[in-house]
Amino acid sequence: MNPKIIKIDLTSREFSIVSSRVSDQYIGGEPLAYALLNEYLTGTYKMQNYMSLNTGPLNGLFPFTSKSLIMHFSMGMSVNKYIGGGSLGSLMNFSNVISIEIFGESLVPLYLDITPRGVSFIDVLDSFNSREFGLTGRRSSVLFKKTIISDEYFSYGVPRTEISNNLVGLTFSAVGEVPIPDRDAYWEVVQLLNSRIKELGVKKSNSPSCLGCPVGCALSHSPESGNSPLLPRSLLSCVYAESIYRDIPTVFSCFSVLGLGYTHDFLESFSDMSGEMIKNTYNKIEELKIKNSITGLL
Amino acid sequence: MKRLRVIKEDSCIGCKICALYASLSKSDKVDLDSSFVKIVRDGKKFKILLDQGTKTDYPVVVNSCPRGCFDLEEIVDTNES
Repeated sequence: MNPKIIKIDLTSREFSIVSSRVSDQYIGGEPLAYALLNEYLTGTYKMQNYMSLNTGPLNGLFPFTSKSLIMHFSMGMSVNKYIGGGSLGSLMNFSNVISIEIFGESLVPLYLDITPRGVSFIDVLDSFNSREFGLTGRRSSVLFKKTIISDEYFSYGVPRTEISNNLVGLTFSAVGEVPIPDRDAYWEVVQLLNSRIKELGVKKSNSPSCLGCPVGCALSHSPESGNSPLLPRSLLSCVYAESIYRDIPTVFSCFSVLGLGYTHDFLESFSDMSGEMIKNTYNKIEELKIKNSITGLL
Repeated sequence: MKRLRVIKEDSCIGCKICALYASLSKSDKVDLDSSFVKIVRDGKKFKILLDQGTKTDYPVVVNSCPRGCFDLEEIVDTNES
């Protein structure tokens, strides 16, 4: 079953849910976010705000892979990435939603209540309370304030360029299921990964934990820089678990027990292929900048 | 007969691993909606909600919790004579 992408237009207050094969090639996380941006710049691009919230196929199902990535493409044509913890990425993955793309801007402050089945557009009035939205035990919220923050605790960092789309925040609720073809094999891989907990650069503590992570480290609320290799960046694994999730045989085992068909050869060539696509995306942005400066749009 | 019991709710870090394993214990899928354990945030802490209207005595759920929040308690089945 192909993962879904929820496309939301803030200007017209319309949404669509499409099935996509983009994760076949770019798995998820940062490479997938760039691939979607590339697709957007190639196709229906117009001068407007663009944002995407992205997850990966292992998110929440295996320990230390619980981050999500927010990509913002500003009106000034700069790409900014924000990576944070919490439960958003995992709940999206449990719902087979690999990305949420948000286009345009609202005239008034707006909040989105999202499930894999639909989107509600809520005007933010004085009495607004984001806790009123979502499904009990399977909701995650993101608020775009001075800092981007999810689940009232996990930071994605301070926006480096203004996100001028009037989106105050959103709630995502998980609906759906992830089939586990071989439960015993799955548990075996999870236990193996848990046994590598000493490889993490952080210690156990009693802080709120990202979904699926047994550590509860004191740094769980901190944003991540995203400076790890492309394979862990596609999985949105924790930066402190980089040594685990850049290891191709380990990642291959995780995919195999979920019945996902990524081959060993594909994983070997993944970084080069994704790196090329990301370079191509930046080239497209440069071309658009030149085009826009000629036509006087910038 | 046994059932799942919360013994250290204050230690919960909200990882929801118990909720995942609870759904996986009953079927071959991860589905938070059908899970008999739900974790909800309550200020700075977490609340653990159990649906005792179903079989809950899965050791894998007890063992999955990294903070030892659960055990299995013996209960008397009043239907047995």
